Amino acid sequence: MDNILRKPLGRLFRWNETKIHELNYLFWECTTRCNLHCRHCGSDCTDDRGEKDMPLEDFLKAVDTIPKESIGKRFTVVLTGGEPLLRKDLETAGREIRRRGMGWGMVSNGWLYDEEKHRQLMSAGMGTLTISLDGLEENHDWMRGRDGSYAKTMKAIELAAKEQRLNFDVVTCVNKRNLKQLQELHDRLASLGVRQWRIFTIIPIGRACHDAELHLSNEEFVELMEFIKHKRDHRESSMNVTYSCEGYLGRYEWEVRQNPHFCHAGINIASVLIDGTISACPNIDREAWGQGNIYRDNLWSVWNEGFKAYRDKSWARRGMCKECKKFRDCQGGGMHNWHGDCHEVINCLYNKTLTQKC
Amino acid sequence: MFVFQACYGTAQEDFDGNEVSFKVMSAEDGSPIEGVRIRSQFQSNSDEMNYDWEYIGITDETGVASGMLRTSELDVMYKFTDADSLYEVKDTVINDAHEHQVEVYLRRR
Repeated sequence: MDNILRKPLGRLFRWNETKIHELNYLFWECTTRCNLHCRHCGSDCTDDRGEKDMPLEDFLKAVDTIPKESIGKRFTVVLTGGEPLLRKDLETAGREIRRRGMGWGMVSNGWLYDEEKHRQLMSAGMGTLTISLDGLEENHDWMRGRDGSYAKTMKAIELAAKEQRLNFDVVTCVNKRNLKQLQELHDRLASLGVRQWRIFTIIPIGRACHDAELHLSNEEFVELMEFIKHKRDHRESSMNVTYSCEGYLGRYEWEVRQNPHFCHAGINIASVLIDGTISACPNIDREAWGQGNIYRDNLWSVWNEGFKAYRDKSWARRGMCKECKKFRDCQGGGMHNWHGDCHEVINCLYNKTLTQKC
Repeated sequence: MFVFQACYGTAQEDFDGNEVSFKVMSAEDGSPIEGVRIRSQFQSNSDEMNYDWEYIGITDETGVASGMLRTSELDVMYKFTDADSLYEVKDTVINDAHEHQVEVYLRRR
């Protein structure tokens, strides 16, 4: 796209999407049980947080409030957790979602993803999958809190990467310990045939709040941006490397991903959380930004009548965003950056990019 | 113009397909056959196009299996292979398995 046109076109696209407010991406936090204990878990999941999995029929009942004519071709339900593979009814869930004319996918740590599970889920119509890999063996297992995690995750990645019918990507949370391993990770993933590698940094929520090793300094963040930019400029492999759409990136905005920053939470994205809360992405502060609950509200009505603060971000002109000249394009970053009393954004990526590269 | 992916979610997908369902039985006595592996292959008119066999499912104790066919094209070849090799492998083109459950009969070897 022409450099002069892309900024206004990006703004026009955001304005238009916000106005249309089409729901086409629905998270289902189907469990908060997890077989790992990740240092950066934004949901603070454990092997048993004491919450029961949401019954499939409860979720489907909420989904069935969405009129058929409002289910577009790209409507995708994303099963997340916790670890979705701990549920025994994923195939049934997948088939039921497909029967409603929706696509579905899953975010997984890969521990339980073996050949049999792969076949079963593909047969149930799984169309998209994301698996997390957070470093080479020692660092990945450290991040994930369980020895052997790296080996199992790599097997899962190898399996999924071979599947041509699957829209598959690997995500990596970059931190101080794995920053210098990115080149080797890149080479390993490329050698397995991975086509999409998405990199993000960790926001200080959940367990990640007080762990200094997880958070990059400004200089390290710029180093990461340069790494991704280099990979995109030089195309060393057929693998597409991107930075996730977490916030506005200033001079790197068009260099490290295909699209400009645009938080789709509440504009195209909703979620049904473990306790029935209706929100947008699961990592958004559910107390501050929850819009209703499927056990007392109609999901479709909440989508249409709620989410106003997601669509009009003028409230975010506060704290460091108040006088920021980039607000028009940033809009206060992703909604997950506004927690608690929301008087200040908890993470400004743009500020980090102002540091000069070494 | 722009596609998006939620920060902590998967990519969106663009799926084109249907659920298909089969009941597999013995041609000799009509009894259901468990453990039959069903795969599909899209049939192309072009000699240059080769499509992989895709896994649909394995029949249960009632001989029934269903799965997702990842194409909306109708001419699809299905292959039925029983786990114990007691029956002949069957290759057949079926074009209405997305509309109703199709009965398939396998002959003993």
